[in-house]
Amino acid sequence: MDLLAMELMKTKVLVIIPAYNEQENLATTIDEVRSKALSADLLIVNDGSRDETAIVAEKTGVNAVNLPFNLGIGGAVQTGFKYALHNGYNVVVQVDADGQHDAAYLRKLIDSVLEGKADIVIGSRYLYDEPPKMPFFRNLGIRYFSWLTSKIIRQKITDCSSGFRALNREAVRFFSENYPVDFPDAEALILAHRAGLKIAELPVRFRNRVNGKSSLSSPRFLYYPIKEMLSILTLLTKRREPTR
Amino acid sequence: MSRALEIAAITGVVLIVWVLYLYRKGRLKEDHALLWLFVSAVVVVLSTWTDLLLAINWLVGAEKVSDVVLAAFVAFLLVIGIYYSVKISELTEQNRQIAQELAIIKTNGMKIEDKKQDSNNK
Repeated sequence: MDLLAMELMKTKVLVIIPAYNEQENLATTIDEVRSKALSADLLIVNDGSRDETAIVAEKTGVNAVNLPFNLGIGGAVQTGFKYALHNGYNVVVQVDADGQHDAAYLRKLIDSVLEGKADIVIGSRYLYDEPPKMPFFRNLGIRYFSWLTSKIIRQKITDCSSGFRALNREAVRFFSENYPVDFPDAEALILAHRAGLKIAELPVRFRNRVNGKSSLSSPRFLYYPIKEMLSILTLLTKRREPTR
Repeated sequence: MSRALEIAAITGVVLIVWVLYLYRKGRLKEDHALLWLFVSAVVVVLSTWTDLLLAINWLVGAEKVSDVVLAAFVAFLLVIGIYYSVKISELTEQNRQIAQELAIIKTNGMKIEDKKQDSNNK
């Protein structure tokens, strides 16, 4: 057994799976994550789903935090961070419930954090050999905000909106206090960078969603870039919140 | 006093009574009640003290007294709109924090209950 594997056995790892109306995908995602992250605890954050997500979550036997109403992806993920902090986890991995993330990469993300390569390690779809297939405007939006984030933090970021991330305790502590609520993607990374947290990216394979539809496919998707721009511009005028 | 000013004065008095009623019933908090009482008092004072209204009219160089009243009303609505947006934003943030804490406490409580049951069964 290598040193990293031994370190992993001693480390409390939590995999957070935020879920909103994911009754069709959740069980498969849980099974896959369980099979690849055997020593990690799992936590479903049911973000006020209106379908049977809560029942599916209960059937899987995984711990679930059921939010009384929908807070949005940022609020749901932050709930997971708060839970991790309350319960003494050292490493947290965020995985989307829609099954788009290949759980085979979980270990790589966790290892990178344990090796101290960065405080936040993002699984990037754009660093993978085969670029992700997604709608034109969504792809454009992700590329634009990744470019903007890269310029602001002066570090190349290829996939600012990836929901496949691993974080150490310091990053979890920071995000449990400071996390953008609605569309946290680029803003969270800028916040983290300004707080002195180190960010890295790893290539991960991306799969298209099998069932249901993304929350970003709603008409709010048009509103998203405007809101994100306002958040980022406002953030740049604020004082930094150092963690170290 | 013109008919319009008489109506304004009566409206101001009715507003004061209504605000006091809502406050007594506990449907308005102190700071909100004070705000609306102040606004109602301003309406009553301006509509009964014609000289003051004319002085303001002369000061801002408006053509008609009604222009001053209308402009003041629109400005007030803008300020009050922003004030309530701020309040709603604060409440949304507090609501989010409470929802998160409540959900975590419930989950942790259930975990403790499960552990207790397991140890009782053993």
